[in-house]
Amino acid sequence: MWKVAWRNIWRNRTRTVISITAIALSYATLLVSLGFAEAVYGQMEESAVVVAGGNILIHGTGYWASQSGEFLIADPDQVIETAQQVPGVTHVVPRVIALGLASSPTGSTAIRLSGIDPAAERLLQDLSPYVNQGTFLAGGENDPLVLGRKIAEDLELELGDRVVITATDADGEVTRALFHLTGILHTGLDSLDQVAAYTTLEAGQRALGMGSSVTQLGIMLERDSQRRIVRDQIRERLGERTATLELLTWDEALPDLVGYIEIDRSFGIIYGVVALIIVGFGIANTFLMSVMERIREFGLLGAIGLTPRRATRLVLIEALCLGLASLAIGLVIGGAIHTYFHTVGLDLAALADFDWEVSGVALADTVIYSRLNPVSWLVSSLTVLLLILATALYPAWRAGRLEPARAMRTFQ
Amino acid sequence: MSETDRTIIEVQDVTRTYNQGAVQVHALRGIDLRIRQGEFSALAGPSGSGKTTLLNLIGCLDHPTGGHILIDGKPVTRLDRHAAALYRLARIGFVFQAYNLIPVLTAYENAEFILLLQGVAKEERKKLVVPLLERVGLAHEMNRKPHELSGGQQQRVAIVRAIASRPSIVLADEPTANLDAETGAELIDLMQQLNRENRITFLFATHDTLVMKRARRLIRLRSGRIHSDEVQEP
Repeated sequence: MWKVAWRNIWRNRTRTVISITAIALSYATLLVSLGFAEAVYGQMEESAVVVAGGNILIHGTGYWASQSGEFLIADPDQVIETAQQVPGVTHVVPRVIALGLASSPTGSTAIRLSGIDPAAERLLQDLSPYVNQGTFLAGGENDPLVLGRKIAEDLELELGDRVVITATDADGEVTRALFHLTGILHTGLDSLDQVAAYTTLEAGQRALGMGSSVTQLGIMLERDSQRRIVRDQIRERLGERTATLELLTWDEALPDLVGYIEIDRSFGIIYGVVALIIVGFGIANTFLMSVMERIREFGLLGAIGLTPRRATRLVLIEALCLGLASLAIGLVIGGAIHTYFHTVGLDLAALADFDWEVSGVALADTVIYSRLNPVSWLVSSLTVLLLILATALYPAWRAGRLEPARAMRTFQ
Repeated sequence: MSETDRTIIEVQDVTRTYNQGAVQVHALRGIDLRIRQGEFSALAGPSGSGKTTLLNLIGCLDHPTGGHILIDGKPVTRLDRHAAALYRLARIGFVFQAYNLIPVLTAYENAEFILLLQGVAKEERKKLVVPLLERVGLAHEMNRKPHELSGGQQQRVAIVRAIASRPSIVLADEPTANLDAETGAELIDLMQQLNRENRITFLFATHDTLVMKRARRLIRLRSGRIHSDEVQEP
């Protein structure tokens, strides 16, 4: 049956070549699109982990929603020690975070002050290459401060200048602290260049009168896919301590980004399905023509003993042959393009001059490297194959319904 | 009852009426007929006399409007399409006037197709088909596609396909109509030999005088009725 089906699809060589080309190119395009979509989403998720501050975040309960300095983690060492004992946790990074104003003799501007441990922070994100003047908290400075380029420009600051940071302390009182500008950050990303201000953890704690408390613990994991399991394990081990703490995975902390990715992915699927349906109609027409042209032959086959079920199966096998041949060719074409962009990458910035930033999360690198998730590949391949079989259902049904005598009489 | 006396086809008061728009066409108007196993018979008559219709009904390719058809004593008139196809596959070989072969298959593949549908193993198919193709003079044409064969060669392949599975009955609808007289005579010779050797019942629908002359029994139809039914001397 397979031999007959395979030869049948090559009866009209031109038509079959056109059909296979249409399916193979659609499938190859689907694979390439999937590769780029996965790459962009994957890169966004990786960037989101950096922007959020870790795969898992721990704060005083209520901090993330309010971003208020009154919600602190007192005695963070015990929490750090507990978290570090959970399998899968690689590092725990403490931070002090405060929203406030940076002032110079020229004026004031809103900032987000982060007091960090530079060595620990570097494990998540190394900002030192983006410092184009001064250093990034290299050590040895007194009350150091690194500001985003736009802040420094607005406040007309130069290295060594004094900057006053005004923020709300843990008691809700307005407090002021003096810092010295030791570095200017130029990332090219507005989210950082316009609002980011960094100092050391100790300087931040001192300025905000927090003692040894911190605002946030960023937890880094070996594998991001385990974030929920590890979060639950940390929560379990912290026991009663969790009453005053909130534990969030990065996607819980950045729901807008997750929503964007899901919507974008859904639209991608819709576009893909619509495109495949359009191709599908073309193929359905081809199959129908191929059956209608062979009505007398199906009559003959029925007369010599081909059951209606087998006639239906023959047309479906023809569709399967066409589909598999198309997928094989599409896989070669799509696979080659994917492999090229997986190796060489595609520079999105060279394609369009706009900000690749969504919900405050920017791509870490505008060069994306195609990624093909085996599950997505398998699902898309099966979808294409099922679509082809679906287009052959009606012609196959027709072939099975033919009355041999009438089929031969009508078209003799 | 001897093997030759056994009735293999029994047609009882069969009618077939087609509706063509508002007009009813009575293709068969009450046919009663018995064919014994091993007969070499022909249904003759002018176009529209009902011979192909009767052949189709006996072959379960169509349903009668009235009456019954029994093959080997079993009624076959109400078989559904699936059961009818299986019945044909097991019991009946067909040879048609033209377009008998599957164009994408070689002569050998066409000849073995029914055996393939029956699930006969590859080696067994080869054992059954190759000698028959050699017998009909197609030893060197086995790998040719139908369009590479002459009309007579194509009909020979169709005959081999029809008998390779050892059916009880071969129904042949105008098998010589598209052939020249000499090729037609050769084919009739061949079918007569196979009939003698294998005791396969042959029933033709024909208006070819040569086939009519060579048939042992000639049943003439006219306007959907049996006009005459004669046993002919060889």
